Amino acid sequence: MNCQEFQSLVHDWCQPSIEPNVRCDGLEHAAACAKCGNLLASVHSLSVGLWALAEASASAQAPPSVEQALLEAFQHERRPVSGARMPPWWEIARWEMSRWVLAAGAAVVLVVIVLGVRSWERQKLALQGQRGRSPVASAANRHAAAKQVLPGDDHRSTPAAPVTRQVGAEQVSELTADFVPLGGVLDPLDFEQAEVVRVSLPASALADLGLPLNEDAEATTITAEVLIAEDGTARAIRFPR
Amino acid sequence: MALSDLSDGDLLRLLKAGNQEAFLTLYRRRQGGIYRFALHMSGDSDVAEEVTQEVFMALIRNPEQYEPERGSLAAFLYGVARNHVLRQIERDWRYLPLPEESADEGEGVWSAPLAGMDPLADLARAETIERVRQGVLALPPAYREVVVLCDLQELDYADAARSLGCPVGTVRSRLHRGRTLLMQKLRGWHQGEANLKPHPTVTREA
Repeated sequence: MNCQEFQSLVHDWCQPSIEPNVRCDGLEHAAACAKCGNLLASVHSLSVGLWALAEASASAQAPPSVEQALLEAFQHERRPVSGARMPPWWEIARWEMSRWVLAAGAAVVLVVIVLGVRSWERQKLALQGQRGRSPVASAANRHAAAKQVLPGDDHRSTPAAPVTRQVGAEQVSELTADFVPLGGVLDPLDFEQAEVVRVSLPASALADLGLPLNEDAEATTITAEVLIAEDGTARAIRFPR
Repeated sequence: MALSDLSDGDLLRLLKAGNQEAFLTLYRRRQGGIYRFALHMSGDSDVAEEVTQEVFMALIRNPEQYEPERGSLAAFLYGVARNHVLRQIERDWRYLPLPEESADEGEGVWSAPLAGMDPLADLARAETIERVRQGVLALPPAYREVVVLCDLQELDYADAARSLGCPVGTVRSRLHRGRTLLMQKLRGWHQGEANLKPHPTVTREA
Protein backbone atom coordinates (compact mmCIF):
# COMPACT_ATOMS: atom_id res chain seq x y z
CA MET A 1 0.00 0.00 0.00
CA ASN A 2 1.32 3.44 -0.84
CA CYS A 3 0.69 6.79 0.86
CA GLN A 4 -2.12 7.81 -1.51
CA GLU A 5 -4.01 4.57 -0.98
CA PHE A 6 -3.53 4.83 2.77
CA GLN A 7 -4.79 8.42 2.94
CA SER A 8 -7.86 7.54 0.91
CA LEU A 9 -8.71 4.78 3.37
CA VAL A 10 -7.67 6.19 6.71
CA HIS A 11 -11.03 7.82 7.45
CA ASP A 12 -12.88 4.60 6.68
CA TRP A 13 -10.72 2.66 9.10
CA CYS A 14 -13.63 1.74 11.33
CA GLN A 15 -16.06 1.00 8.52
CA PRO A 16 -17.06 -2.66 8.19
CA SER A 17 -16.45 -2.37 4.45
CA ILE A 18 -12.67 -2.35 5.04
CA GLU A 19 -11.30 -5.85 4.61
CA PRO A 20 -9.09 -7.16 7.45
CA ASN A 21 -6.16 -7.79 5.08
CA VAL A 22 -6.44 -4.18 3.77
CA ARG A 23 -6.40 -2.93 7.34
CA CYS A 24 -3.28 -4.98 8.06
CA ASP A 25 -1.57 -3.59 4.96
CA GLY A 26 -2.44 -0.08 6.09
CA LEU A 27 -1.05 -0.61 9.57
CA GLU A 28 2.15 -1.96 8.07
CA HIS A 29 2.41 1.10 5.85
CA ALA A 30 1.74 3.47 8.77
CA ALA A 31 4.46 1.77 10.78
CA ALA A 32 6.92 2.25 7.94
CA CYS A 33 5.87 5.80 6.85
CA ALA A 34 6.20 8.57 9.45
CA LYS A 35 3.81 10.92 7.66
CA CYS A 36 1.09 8.32 7.36
CA GLY A 37 1.83 7.16 10.89
CA ASN A 38 1.18 10.69 12.18
CA LEU A 39 -1.98 10.89 10.08
CA LEU A 40 -3.25 7.65 11.57
CA ALA A 41 -2.49 8.92 15.06
CA SER A 42 -4.40 12.18 14.33
CA VAL A 43 -7.37 10.30 12.96
CA HIS A 44 -7.33 8.06 15.99
CA SER A 45 -7.24 11.05 18.33
CA LEU A 46 -10.07 12.69 16.45
CA SER A 47 -12.14 9.51 16.63
CA VAL A 48 -11.55 9.33 20.37
CA GLY A 49 -12.53 12.98 20.75
CA LEU A 50 -15.70 12.53 18.68
CA TRP A 51 -16.57 9.40 20.58
CA ALA A 52 -16.12 11.26 23.87
CA LEU A 53 -18.34 14.08 22.60
CA ALA A 54 -21.01 11.61 21.49
CA GLU A 55 -20.86 9.87 24.85
CA ALA A 56 -21.02 13.13 26.79
CA SER A 57 -24.10 14.23 24.91
CA ALA A 58 -25.78 10.83 24.84
CA SER A 59 -28.16 11.77 27.60
CA ALA A 60 -29.17 15.07 26.03
CA GLN A 61 -32.79 15.06 24.96
CA ALA A 62 -35.68 17.37 24.41
CA PRO A 63 -37.32 18.72 27.57
CA PRO A 64 -40.67 17.29 28.72
CA SER A 65 -42.45 20.46 27.57
CA VAL A 66 -41.83 19.40 23.95
CA GLU A 67 -43.47 16.04 24.54
CA GLN A 68 -46.42 17.72 26.22
CA ALA A 69 -46.86 20.19 23.36
CA LEU A 70 -46.69 17.38 20.82
CA LEU A 71 -49.25 15.30 22.70
CA GLU A 72 -51.65 18.23 22.70
CA ALA A 73 -51.04 18.71 19.01
CA PHE A 74 -51.62 15.02 18.40
CA GLN A 75 -54.93 15.11 20.23
CA HIS A 76 -55.95 18.18 18.27
CA GLU A 77 -54.83 16.94 14.87
CA ARG A 78 -55.53 13.23 15.02
CA ARG A 79 -58.04 12.36 17.70
CA PRO A 80 -61.28 14.10 16.63
CA VAL A 81 -61.85 11.83 13.65
CA SER A 82 -59.91 8.84 14.96
CA GLY A 83 -57.34 8.34 12.31
CA ALA A 84 -58.04 11.05 9.82
CA ARG A 85 -56.94 14.65 10.11
CA MET A 86 -59.76 17.09 10.76
CA PRO A 87 -59.89 19.46 7.80
CA PRO A 88 -59.78 23.19 8.54
CA TRP A 89 -63.01 25.18 8.73
CA TRP A 90 -62.66 26.70 5.25
CA GLU A 91 -62.43 23.27 3.66
CA ILE A 92 -65.53 22.15 5.55
CA ALA A 93 -67.39 25.32 4.48
CA ARG A 94 -66.37 24.83 0.86
CA TRP A 95 -67.45 21.21 1.01
CA GLU A 96 -70.81 22.13 2.55
CA MET A 97 -71.32 24.85 -0.04
CA SER A 98 -70.60 22.49 -2.88
CA ARG A 99 -73.10 20.03 -1.42
CA TRP A 100 -75.79 22.74 -1.31
CA VAL A 101 -74.99 23.87 -4.84
CA LEU A 102 -75.26 20.29 -6.04
CA ALA A 103 -78.56 19.80 -4.20
CA ALA A 104 -79.97 23.06 -5.61
CA GLY A 105 -78.89 22.08 -9.12
CA ALA A 106 -80.52 18.69 -8.76
CA ALA A 107 -83.74 20.34 -7.50
CA VAL A 108 -83.82 22.73 -10.48
CA VAL A 109 -83.35 19.86 -12.90
CA LEU A 110 -86.13 17.91 -11.17
CA VAL A 111 -88.54 20.87 -11.34
CA VAL A 112 -87.77 21.39 -15.02
CA ILE A 113 -88.42 17.70 -15.71
CA VAL A 114 -91.72 17.72 -13.77
CA LEU A 115 -92.92 20.89 -15.50
CA GLY A 116 -91.92 19.49 -18.86
CA VAL A 117 -93.78 16.24 -18.26
CA ARG A 118 -96.87 18.06 -17.06
CA SER A 119 -96.81 20.41 -20.01
CA TRP A 120 -96.39 17.48 -22.36
CA GLU A 121 -99.32 15.70 -20.72
CA ARG A 122 -101.49 18.79 -21.07
CA GLN A 123 -100.64 19.10 -24.73
CA LYS A 124 -101.31 15.41 -25.22
CA LEU A 125 -104.70 15.65 -23.52
CA ALA A 126 -105.62 18.71 -25.56
CA LEU A 127 -104.61 16.92 -28.73
CA GLN A 128 -106.63 13.88 -27.75
CA GLY A 129 -109.63 16.11 -27.01
CA GLN A 130 -109.36 17.69 -30.43
CA ARG A 131 -109.06 14.28 -32.09
CA GLY A 132 -112.05 13.03 -30.12
CA ARG A 133 -114.35 15.83 -31.14
CA SER A 134 -113.34 16.82 -34.59
CA PRO A 135 -114.32 13.59 -36.34
CA VAL A 136 -117.77 13.80 -34.82
CA ALA A 137 -118.02 17.42 -35.75
CA SER A 138 -116.95 16.77 -39.30
CA ALA A 139 -119.34 13.86 -39.51
CA ALA A 140 -122.11 16.08 -38.27
CA ASN A 141 -121.19 18.68 -40.81
CA ARG A 142 -121.07 16.18 -43.59
CA HIS A 143 -124.32 14.65 -42.49
CA ALA A 144 -126.04 17.66 -41.09
CA ALA A 145 -129.53 16.77 -40.04
CA ALA A 146 -129.13 13.43 -41.75
CA LYS A 147 -130.83 11.67 -38.97
CA GLN A 148 -132.92 12.99 -36.15
CA VAL A 149 -133.26 11.16 -32.98
CA LEU A 150 -136.81 11.48 -32.08
CA PRO A 151 -138.42 10.90 -28.73
CA GLY A 152 -139.99 7.54 -28.40
CA ASP A 153 -137.81 6.08 -31.05
CA ASP A 154 -136.34 3.64 -28.55
CA HIS A 155 -133.46 6.02 -28.29
CA ARG A 156 -131.99 4.29 -31.29
CA SER A 157 -130.14 6.20 -33.86
CA THR A 158 -128.12 5.09 -36.77
CA PRO A 159 -125.61 7.56 -37.99
CA ALA A 160 -125.25 7.68 -41.72
CA ALA A 161 -121.53 7.65 -41.41
CA PRO A 162 -120.74 6.56 -37.92
CA VAL A 163 -117.49 7.85 -36.61
CA THR A 164 -116.31 5.47 -34.01
CA ARG A 165 -114.22 6.63 -31.17
CA GLN A 166 -113.02 4.30 -28.50
CA VAL A 167 -113.75 6.00 -25.26
CA GLY A 168 -110.88 5.34 -22.98
CA ALA A 169 -111.32 4.73 -19.32
CA GLU A 170 -109.26 7.82 -18.58
CA GLN A 171 -111.89 9.97 -20.28
CA VAL A 172 -114.97 8.52 -18.55
CA SER A 173 -115.12 11.17 -15.89
CA GLU A 174 -114.76 13.89 -18.51
CA LEU A 175 -117.65 12.50 -20.64
CA THR A 176 -119.99 11.70 -17.78
CA ALA A 177 -119.61 15.25 -16.56
CA ASP A 178 -121.01 16.51 -19.86
CA PHE A 179 -123.46 13.79 -20.86
CA VAL A 180 -126.93 13.68 -19.42
CA PRO A 181 -128.10 10.09 -19.03
CA LEU A 182 -131.21 9.06 -20.89
CA GLY A 183 -133.49 6.71 -19.01
CA GLY A 184 -131.64 5.55 -15.97
CA VAL A 185 -128.25 5.70 -14.41
CA LEU A 186 -125.30 5.91 -16.73
CA ASP A 187 -123.04 2.95 -16.28
CA PRO A 188 -119.33 3.58 -17.00
CA LEU A 189 -119.30 0.20 -18.76
CA ASP A 190 -121.64 1.77 -21.35
CA PHE A 191 -118.70 3.73 -22.62
CA GLU A 192 -116.57 0.66 -23.37
CA GLN A 193 -117.75 0.35 -26.99
CA ALA A 194 -119.80 3.52 -27.25
CA GLU A 195 -120.08 5.81 -30.21
CA VAL A 196 -120.74 9.52 -30.18
CA VAL A 197 -123.03 10.75 -32.90
CA ARG A 198 -123.76 14.38 -33.57
CA VAL A 199 -127.35 15.02 -34.56
CA SER A 200 -129.84 17.86 -35.13
CA LEU A 201 -133.21 17.66 -33.47
CA PRO A 202 -136.11 19.97 -32.71
CA ALA A 203 -135.84 21.65 -29.33
CA SER A 204 -139.30 20.39 -28.45
CA ALA A 205 -137.89 16.88 -28.33
CA LEU A 206 -135.98 17.81 -25.15
CA ALA A 207 -139.18 17.71 -23.19
CA ASP A 208 -139.78 14.13 -24.26
CA LEU A 209 -136.33 13.26 -23.06
CA GLY A 210 -137.17 14.68 -19.65
CA LEU A 211 -134.88 17.67 -20.10
CA PRO A 212 -135.87 21.28 -19.38
CA LEU A 213 -137.21 23.15 -22.38
CA ASN A 214 -137.15 26.83 -23.16
CA GLU A 215 -140.61 27.49 -24.59
CA ASP A 216 -139.35 30.47 -26.62
CA ALA A 217 -136.95 28.22 -28.46
CA GLU A 218 -139.38 25.36 -28.89
CA ALA A 219 -139.50 25.72 -32.69
CA THR A 220 -135.74 25.86 -33.16
CA THR A 221 -133.44 23.08 -34.07
CA ILE A 222 -130.58 22.24 -31.75
CA THR A 223 -127.43 20.21 -32.20
CA ALA A 224 -126.65 17.44 -29.77
CA GLU A 225 -124.19 14.60 -29.34
CA VAL A 226 -125.72 11.28 -28.49
CA LEU A 227 -123.83 8.47 -26.87
CA ILE A 228 -124.81 5.23 -28.61
CA ALA A 229 -123.95 2.12 -26.68
CA GLU A 230 -122.79 -1.16 -28.19
CA ASP A 231 -126.34 -2.48 -28.28
CA GLY A 232 -127.42 0.51 -30.36
CA THR A 233 -129.42 2.31 -27.69
CA ALA A 234 -128.94 5.96 -26.89
CA ARG A 235 -127.59 6.21 -23.35
CA ALA A 236 -126.77 9.86 -22.95
CA ILE A 237 -126.89 13.20 -24.63
CA ARG A 238 -124.93 16.43 -24.44
CA PHE A 239 -125.13 19.75 -26.10
CA PRO A 240 -121.90 21.09 -27.49
CA ARG A 241 -121.44 24.78 -27.14
CA MET B 1 -46.74 -7.50 22.40
CA ALA B 2 -45.77 -4.16 23.91
CA LEU B 3 -45.66 -1.07 21.72
CA SER B 4 -41.98 -0.67 22.50
CA ASP B 5 -41.34 -3.98 20.72
CA LEU B 6 -42.90 -2.77 17.48
CA SER B 7 -40.86 -1.44 14.58
CA ASP B 8 -40.91 2.19 13.56
CA GLY B 9 -43.08 1.28 10.57
CA ASP B 10 -45.69 -0.49 12.71
CA LEU B 11 -45.77 2.39 15.16
CA LEU B 12 -46.24 4.80 12.30
CA ARG B 13 -49.20 2.79 11.01
CA LEU B 14 -50.79 2.96 14.46
CA LEU B 15 -50.01 6.65 14.63
CA LYS B 16 -51.85 7.19 11.37
CA ALA B 17 -54.85 5.41 12.89
CA GLY B 18 -54.84 7.90 15.75
CA ASN B 19 -53.06 5.80 18.38
CA GLN B 20 -51.54 8.27 20.80
CA GLU B 21 -49.50 5.68 22.68
CA ALA B 22 -47.86 4.60 19.43
CA PHE B 23 -46.88 8.18 18.73
CA LEU B 24 -45.51 8.56 22.23
CA THR B 25 -43.45 5.38 21.88
CA LEU B 26 -42.07 6.49 18.53
CA TYR B 27 -41.31 9.97 19.86
CA ARG B 28 -39.48 8.67 22.90
CA ARG B 29 -37.50 6.29 20.74
CA ARG B 30 -36.35 8.90 18.21
CA GLN B 31 -36.46 12.31 19.88
CA GLY B 32 -33.05 12.00 21.56
CA GLY B 33 -31.19 11.47 18.30
CA ILE B 34 -33.04 14.28 16.57
CA TYR B 35 -32.48 16.64 19.49
CA ARG B 36 -28.75 15.85 19.67
CA PHE B 37 -28.36 16.20 15.92
CA ALA B 38 -29.93 19.66 16.05
CA LEU B 39 -27.88 20.51 19.12
CA HIS B 40 -24.57 19.49 17.50
CA MET B 41 -25.50 21.31 14.34
CA SER B 42 -26.63 24.55 15.96
CA GLY B 43 -24.86 24.60 19.32
CA ASP B 44 -28.07 26.02 20.76
CA SER B 45 -30.43 24.05 22.98
CA ASP B 46 -33.35 26.36 22.12
CA VAL B 47 -32.89 25.66 18.43
CA ALA B 48 -32.57 21.94 19.14
CA GLU B 49 -35.82 22.03 21.11
CA GLU B 50 -37.65 23.91 18.40
CA VAL B 51 -36.36 21.65 15.65
CA THR B 52 -37.33 18.51 17.55
CA GLN B 53 -40.83 19.84 18.00
CA GLU B 54 -41.12 20.80 14.34
CA VAL B 55 -39.90 17.39 13.15
CA PHE B 56 -42.48 15.46 15.14
CA MET B 57 -45.18 18.00 14.41
CA ALA B 58 -44.59 17.35 10.72
CA LEU B 59 -44.93 13.63 11.41
CA ILE B 60 -48.24 14.18 13.18
CA ARG B 61 -49.63 16.42 10.47
CA ASN B 62 -48.49 14.48 7.47
CA PRO B 63 -47.15 10.99 8.20
CA GLU B 64 -47.70 10.08 4.54
CA GLN B 65 -44.62 12.14 3.70
CA TYR B 66 -42.47 9.24 4.85
CA GLU B 67 -41.98 6.65 2.11
CA PRO B 68 -40.62 3.37 3.53
CA GLU B 69 -39.07 2.34 0.22
CA ARG B 70 -36.75 5.36 0.36
CA GLY B 71 -35.10 4.45 3.66
CA SER B 72 -35.57 4.14 7.39
CA LEU B 73 -37.85 6.40 9.39
CA ALA B 74 -34.84 7.59 11.39
CA ALA B 75 -33.10 8.74 8.20
CA PHE B 76 -36.30 10.52 7.15
CA LEU B 77 -36.58 12.28 10.50
CA TYR B 78 -32.93 13.34 10.37
CA GLY B 79 -33.57 14.72 6.90
CA VAL B 80 -36.51 16.80 8.14
CA ALA B 81 -34.45 17.95 11.12
CA ARG B 82 -31.57 18.89 8.86
CA ASN B 83 -33.84 21.11 6.74
CA HIS B 84 -35.12 22.89 9.83
CA VAL B 85 -31.64 23.30 11.28
CA LEU B 86 -30.19 24.72 8.08
CA ARG B 87 -33.10 27.16 7.90
CA GLN B 88 -32.42 28.21 11.47
CA ILE B 89 -28.69 28.56 10.83
CA GLU B 90 -29.37 30.62 7.74
CA ARG B 91 -31.77 32.82 9.67
CA ASP B 92 -29.70 33.22 12.79
CA TRP B 93 -26.17 32.99 11.41
CA ARG B 94 -25.26 36.45 12.62
CA TYR B 95 -26.39 35.61 16.13
CA LEU B 96 -24.40 32.41 16.43
CA PRO B 97 -21.95 32.78 19.24
CA LEU B 98 -18.30 32.67 18.40
CA PRO B 99 -16.65 29.49 19.58
CA GLU B 100 -14.46 31.31 22.08
CA GLU B 101 -17.42 33.22 23.50
CA SER B 102 -19.57 30.15 23.86
CA ALA B 103 -17.00 28.10 25.71
CA ASP B 104 -18.98 28.30 28.92
CA GLU B 105 -22.42 28.08 27.35
CA GLY B 106 -24.55 24.97 27.38
CA GLU B 107 -22.62 23.59 30.26
CA GLY B 108 -25.66 21.79 31.59
CA VAL B 109 -26.17 19.94 28.34
CA TRP B 110 -22.58 19.28 27.43
CA SER B 111 -21.09 18.55 30.78
CA ALA B 112 -18.89 15.52 30.48
CA PRO B 113 -19.04 13.06 33.31
CA LEU B 114 -16.46 14.24 35.82
CA ALA B 115 -16.91 11.56 38.40
CA GLY B 116 -13.82 9.64 37.42
CA MET B 117 -11.03 8.59 39.71
CA ASP B 118 -8.54 11.13 38.34
CA PRO B 119 -9.81 14.73 38.44
CA LEU B 120 -7.01 15.95 36.17
CA ALA B 121 -7.75 13.29 33.55
CA ASP B 122 -11.42 14.13 33.74
CA LEU B 123 -10.64 17.79 33.30
CA ALA B 124 -8.48 17.05 30.26
CA ARG B 125 -11.27 14.93 28.85
CA ALA B 126 -13.82 17.66 29.38
CA GLU B 127 -11.51 20.11 27.62
CA THR B 128 -11.09 17.71 24.72
CA ILE B 129 -14.84 17.29 24.43
CA GLU B 130 -15.36 21.02 24.46
CA ARG B 131 -12.72 21.57 21.79
CA VAL B 132 -14.20 18.89 19.57
CA ARG B 133 -17.62 20.42 20.07
CA GLN B 134 -16.35 23.85 19.08
CA GLY B 135 -14.47 22.33 16.16
CA VAL B 136 -17.61 20.64 14.87
CA LEU B 137 -19.60 23.84 15.22
CA ALA B 138 -16.94 25.73 13.30
CA LEU B 139 -17.18 23.43 10.28
CA PRO B 140 -19.11 24.60 7.23
CA PRO B 141 -22.66 23.17 7.41
CA ALA B 142 -22.12 20.79 4.47
CA TYR B 143 -19.27 19.08 6.33
CA ARG B 144 -20.72 19.55 9.80
CA GLU B 145 -23.87 17.60 9.00
CA VAL B 146 -22.04 14.52 7.76
CA VAL B 147 -19.65 14.55 10.74
CA VAL B 148 -22.60 14.85 13.12
CA LEU B 149 -24.64 12.16 11.39
CA CYS B 150 -21.85 9.64 10.81
CA ASP B 151 -19.51 10.23 13.76
CA LEU B 152 -21.80 11.49 16.50
CA GLN B 153 -25.15 9.90 15.61
CA GLU B 154 -23.45 6.80 14.17
CA LEU B 155 -25.57 6.55 11.03
CA ASP B 156 -24.07 4.44 8.28
CA TYR B 157 -23.19 6.10 4.98
CA ALA B 158 -26.37 4.87 3.28
CA ASP B 159 -28.73 6.27 5.93
CA ALA B 160 -26.76 9.53 6.04
CA ALA B 161 -27.07 9.77 2.28
CA ARG B 162 -30.85 9.29 2.52
CA SER B 163 -31.08 11.95 5.22
CA LEU B 164 -29.06 14.43 3.20
CA GLY B 165 -30.55 13.50 -0.15
CA CYS B 166 -27.22 12.87 -1.83
CA PRO B 167 -25.21 9.87 -3.07
CA VAL B 168 -23.19 7.71 -0.69
CA GLY B 169 -20.01 8.77 -2.43
CA THR B 170 -20.75 12.39 -1.61
CA VAL B 171 -21.24 11.52 2.05
CA ARG B 172 -17.93 9.68 2.09
CA SER B 173 -15.95 12.48 0.45
CA ARG B 174 -17.57 15.17 2.62
CA LEU B 175 -16.85 13.13 5.71
CA HIS B 176 -13.17 12.83 4.79
CA ARG B 177 -12.96 16.52 4.10
CA GLY B 178 -14.84 17.41 7.28
CA ARG B 179 -12.61 15.27 9.43
CA THR B 180 -9.50 16.71 7.82
CA LEU B 181 -10.76 20.25 8.53
CA LEU B 182 -11.59 19.26 12.08
CA MET B 183 -8.13 17.80 12.64
CA GLN B 184 -6.51 20.95 11.32
CA LYS B 185 -8.63 23.08 13.59
CA LEU B 186 -7.89 21.00 16.66
CA ARG B 187 -4.20 20.93 15.83
CA GLY B 188 -4.19 24.69 15.38
CA TRP B 189 -5.85 25.25 18.73
CA HIS B 190 -3.47 22.85 20.35
CA GLN B 191 -0.46 24.66 18.91
CA GLY B 192 -1.87 28.07 19.82
CA GLU B 193 -2.53 26.91 23.32
CA ALA B 194 1.02 25.56 23.58
CA ASN B 195 2.35 28.92 22.43
CA LEU B 196 0.22 30.84 24.90
CA LYS B 197 0.65 28.40 27.76
CA PRO B 198 2.07 30.23 30.78
CA HIS B 199 5.08 29.04 32.64
CA PRO B 200 4.28 26.04 34.83
CA THR B 201 5.54 27.86 37.94
CA VAL B 202 3.12 30.68 37.31
CA THR B 203 0.34 28.16 36.86
CA ARG B 204 1.10 26.50 40.14
CA GLU B 205 1.25 29.83 41.93
CA ALA B 206 -2.09 30.73 40.44
